[in-house]
Amino acid sequence: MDLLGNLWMGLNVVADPSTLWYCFLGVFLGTVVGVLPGIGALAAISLLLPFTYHMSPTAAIIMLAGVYYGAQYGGSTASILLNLPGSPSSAVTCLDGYPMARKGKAGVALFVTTIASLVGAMSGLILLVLFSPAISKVGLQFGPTEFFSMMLLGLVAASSMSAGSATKGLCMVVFGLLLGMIGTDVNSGVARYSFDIPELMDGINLVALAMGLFGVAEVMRCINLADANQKPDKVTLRSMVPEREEFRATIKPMLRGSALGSFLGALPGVGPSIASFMSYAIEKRVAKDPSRFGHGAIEGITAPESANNAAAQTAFVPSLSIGIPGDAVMAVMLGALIIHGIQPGPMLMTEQPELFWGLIVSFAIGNIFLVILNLPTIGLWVALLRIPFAWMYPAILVFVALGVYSVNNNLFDIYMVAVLGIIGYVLMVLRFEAAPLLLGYILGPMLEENLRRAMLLSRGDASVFFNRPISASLLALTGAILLWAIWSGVRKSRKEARAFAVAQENAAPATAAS
Amino acid sequence: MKMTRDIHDIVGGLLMSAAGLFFALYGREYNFGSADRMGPGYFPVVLGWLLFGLGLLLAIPAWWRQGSPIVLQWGNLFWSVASLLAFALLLYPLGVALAALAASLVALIATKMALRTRILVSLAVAALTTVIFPIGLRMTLPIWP
Repeated sequence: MDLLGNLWMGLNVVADPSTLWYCFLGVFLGTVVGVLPGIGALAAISLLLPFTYHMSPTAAIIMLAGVYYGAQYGGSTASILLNLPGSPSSAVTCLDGYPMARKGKAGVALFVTTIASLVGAMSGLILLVLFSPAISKVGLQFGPTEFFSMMLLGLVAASSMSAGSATKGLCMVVFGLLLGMIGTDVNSGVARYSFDIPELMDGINLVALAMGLFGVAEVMRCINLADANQKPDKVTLRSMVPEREEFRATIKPMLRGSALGSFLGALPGVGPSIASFMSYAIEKRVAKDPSRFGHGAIEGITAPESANNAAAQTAFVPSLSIGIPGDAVMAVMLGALIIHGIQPGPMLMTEQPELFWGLIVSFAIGNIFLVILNLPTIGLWVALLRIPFAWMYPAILVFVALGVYSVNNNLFDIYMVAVLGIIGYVLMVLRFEAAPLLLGYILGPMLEENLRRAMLLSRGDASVFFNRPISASLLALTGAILLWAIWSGVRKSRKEARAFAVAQENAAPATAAS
Repeated sequence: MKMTRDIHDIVGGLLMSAAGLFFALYGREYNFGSADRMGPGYFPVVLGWLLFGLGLLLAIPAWWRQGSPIVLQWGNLFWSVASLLAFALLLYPLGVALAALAASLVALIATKMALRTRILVSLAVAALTTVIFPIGLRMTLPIWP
């Protein structure tokens, strides 16, 4: 069978010791940033991006992807032990994970979330393997109209399905699109909004933007937060074994979470955070006794953790098969591919089969590494959580400065990071999510390019977007999401929204999707 | 209880509107073109007005909504930025090791810490940075002045 042949090819790529090492390094670093509250996957990936320049594109993308899904594993550790989510997608895990730890069930909670993460990731992976080739065949028929509508769908979904208000999300997307306009216009050669600063002629540096908005802004927010940190208790391996009853109670939520997460992650604009939040809401609805939730219900941690890992895998579907990133992390990942001279899109699978299938197989291997990293070595992560943040953040700032400098060997980029850090911090304080901004920034030039081309071909007739079936259905879906956002914004149960907002506020509001 | 308006959304919305207005007005410098042949000004000007409108849509209803006051940690903001600037300014005259040491000491002003710990942490940062970047990754950077 063709599929088996492809997987075999992928396995051969990954079996190379150096690729295997980068895969391990990626998931290891991912776990570190996931465990530590305050540094997100997005900041970590942008920080590592300059280091991948001397690596092969396949190894680079395998390592960066490992950071992304590895962070989903580590994120639950701090949620359970400290009531502080390591990554935003683990914010809901605090709600029941921390009460479990207070009851002395921290070990069980950590074990169950690791297994749930593995099950979720594997289901997402299967979906990715089965559907990406088909979707990329559809993608080959895309013209500028379809690309425009698809990106519009991604942007609207990313902004309106986030936790906060839809208006705020839309503001961030449009602001991001406008920031993307800065630099030389490819059609006319005019330098737009560059204010005669030569460094701005090429636009804002992606690494500077991501590190400023996420890395620097998070450091500013977390400096004193960490002082209040309580120290986690030691967790022994023996305390991790769940009782049979507990184990049985986790099977169905795990499957439901995996299914929901796989599905949601594949939609452009929906990332692990939304998947975990929605799966928590569903568990609460189907539970016989919903009042247990918030007091240490085991379903309340299994379902969201399997959902966010499933979503982290299927988030690669639109990115790899069509070339349109579904969330901010994917956008940076595609930026990394472009820097390495590889054009993401429907052609990727046929032109770079080794990269594509190697990446897929590396997911399977990386997830197994993660279970090994997260169970026997739990003591290491608990110890890591004991390091005060105040010892670490000066290093983060210096690494950010040097990392961004190394992209172009230009000190201007460090000043740029400082300015973007201020903007990112102010947005964070005003409760704006920066992830849709980054997505808008990356898609901005592509969106404009495809709009211009489509309108040129149709001689200025906008009805072309509604006359072509794929484009029309994508726009219909976009419209439906907007209407749903408005409707749910009006009737949203205030209580749930507030509980989630509080959890998000404790989270590092960075990394992963929306 | 004294009512606080939803100041987050008011300020945020107005800032967004201002940014939108800026992009829309400044974008008039570029050729606007027409729908079938869009000039470089077309897309940014339209988006600028869109952002202006969205900002107002956010700010106006917030006036009648209850909210909490904005908490801005000025010290963290100031010293983190100062640390980045110090590093950028000192990198070439002083080299990586001393620039990292200085940047770390500046960053640590934002937090409470014993003087000895401050110095030890900063020395560790300087050592790590020097080992990782110019030595480990062979970046061409001056290590010493």
